[in-house]
Amino acid sequence: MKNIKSTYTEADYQADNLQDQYTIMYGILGKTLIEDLGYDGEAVLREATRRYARDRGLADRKKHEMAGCKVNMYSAFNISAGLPGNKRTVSYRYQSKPQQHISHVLTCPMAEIWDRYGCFDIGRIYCEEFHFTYYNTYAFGKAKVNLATTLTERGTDCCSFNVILRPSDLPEELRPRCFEEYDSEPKQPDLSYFKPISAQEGYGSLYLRLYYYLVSTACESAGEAGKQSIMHGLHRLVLAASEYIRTKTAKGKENAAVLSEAVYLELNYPARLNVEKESMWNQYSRYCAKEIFRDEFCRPFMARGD
Amino acid sequence: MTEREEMGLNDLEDQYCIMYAILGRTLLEDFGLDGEHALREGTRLYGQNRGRLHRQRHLDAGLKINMKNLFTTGGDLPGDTRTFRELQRINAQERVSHTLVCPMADIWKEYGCMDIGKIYCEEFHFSCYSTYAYGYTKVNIAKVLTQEGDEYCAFNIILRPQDLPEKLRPVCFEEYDPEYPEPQNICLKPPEAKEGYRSLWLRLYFFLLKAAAEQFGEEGREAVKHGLNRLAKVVSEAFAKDNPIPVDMEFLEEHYPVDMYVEKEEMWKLYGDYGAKELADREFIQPLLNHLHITKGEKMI
Repeated sequence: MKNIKSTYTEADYQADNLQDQYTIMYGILGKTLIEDLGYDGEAVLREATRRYARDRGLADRKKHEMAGCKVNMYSAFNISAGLPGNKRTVSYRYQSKPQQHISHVLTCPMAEIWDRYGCFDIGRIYCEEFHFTYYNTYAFGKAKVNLATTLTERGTDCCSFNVILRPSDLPEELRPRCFEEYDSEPKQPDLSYFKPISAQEGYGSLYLRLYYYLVSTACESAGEAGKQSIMHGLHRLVLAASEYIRTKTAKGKENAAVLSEAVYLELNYPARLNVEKESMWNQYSRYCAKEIFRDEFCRPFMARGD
Repeated sequence: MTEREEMGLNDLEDQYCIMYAILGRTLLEDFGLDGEHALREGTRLYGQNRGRLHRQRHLDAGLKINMKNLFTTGGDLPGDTRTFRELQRINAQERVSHTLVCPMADIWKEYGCMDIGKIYCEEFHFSCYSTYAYGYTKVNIAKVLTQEGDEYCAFNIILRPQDLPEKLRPVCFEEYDPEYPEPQNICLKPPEAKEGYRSLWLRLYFFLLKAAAEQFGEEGREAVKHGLNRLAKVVSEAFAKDNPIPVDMEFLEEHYPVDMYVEKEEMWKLYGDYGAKELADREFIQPLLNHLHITKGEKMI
């Protein structure tokens, strides 16, 4: 794990915890799907990851266009629309232009967490599916997404991104939406549209949507067996999430004792454990996603004995 | 391989690349962005054609459609002595490699057409490998030697059984086909240089013409005609320069991919739409022979 600088604030630690728990959730539920359902479980996991990425790609494109940004590779990689920043990821950008983004990610906290929790292969599935679908959906299905190495593969030293969007691949009507030079009346984007997003808000939204697509795809594709596997995964997640918190507080990095349990979790766990307070469930409610989460994760997690 | 044979092989590959570069450059110059669209579309059509034929050869031989077979068994690209690859991993699901030396990139660079070569790299590989495996291949090429500053091409080509519909899994992977009889005595070899590049040149030219004609109609054919005229000049200058071997029909037979006698070429029957054969003969072969002062059947004066 990359050394954390002393300039880290309490909010930075919290952001790390939120990201790690989001990552653990995917790792544990993904691993359980594959163990329970075999190859069909992997197909479910891949499809769910693609659906999640489509959701994010569409949402980010919409936000960018609302703010007057062009839908291109510069915007995709430089104008944050939904992902909270974090201080642990180190990347080197070779080029970031409207037509092409080339970068190497040298440290990825998600890959490190997946490795630590025995889910390295699950992380690889995330990398194979998420990025291709996300950037492609964002750019109207016309992006060329190349990710030749990822840190979720043994023996690689970086994630190597080369994501391309060429005006000549776009139908004429999309060119002005993507590139200024094809817009006869380009407007200055209003970046104030993007209000700074808190880590809790950002990872909360990502966590809920990722979980939702896992549960809905599992139920849709595998029926009752899929639902049972998600429930099984949530039971395992209670243990893994608790173990993470125990490790963190035992190391003294965070003084959980001064905070009440509820406040600590509010700040350090991405999902709201009182599901009734979370309005996003209204949009992501099919297949009893909320009720399953409440009964199989939130209640046992709150009742854990550590 | 003798020095002359190696020179012939290199010329065949180089000339195939030069044809793409000159026709591509002409499309871009004549039609701008729309020309680039046609070039990309032509390259994709060509990639699809090669991917589909490659798959059919494998199916006919009883082979599984997967990454190991795609990259190790009976490819349609003749071997060459200049490409240098570092293979990191190859199995039925994945092929990970670095290409450290690419003669195609080198020739495009020499002719000032790296941008055209990059278009080839962006379109061809994705289209060919994806078509080969029924559209389910994940093609990642994060670095290419046609990109300024890249020191190698980084390939990571993936086909996962879980991404395939159930009925395709046994077609692609042995473990899903319990009664799979391991094919015996497979003798799918890459083609000989002349045969291979002849076929590739002809198909690549045809699909560029097709894309241009379909997008721009007669104007597209005119642009390709213009490109073929330029190509004849470029090729004749290349062959005339510092060439220790007399440039005659025998030389062209060994060193140029396409057959100078179009009527002898059977492939035009399959790839002859849009007047492809007549255009190639009238606007490229005849001008080339004229530039080189060659009459069919006679040596250069």
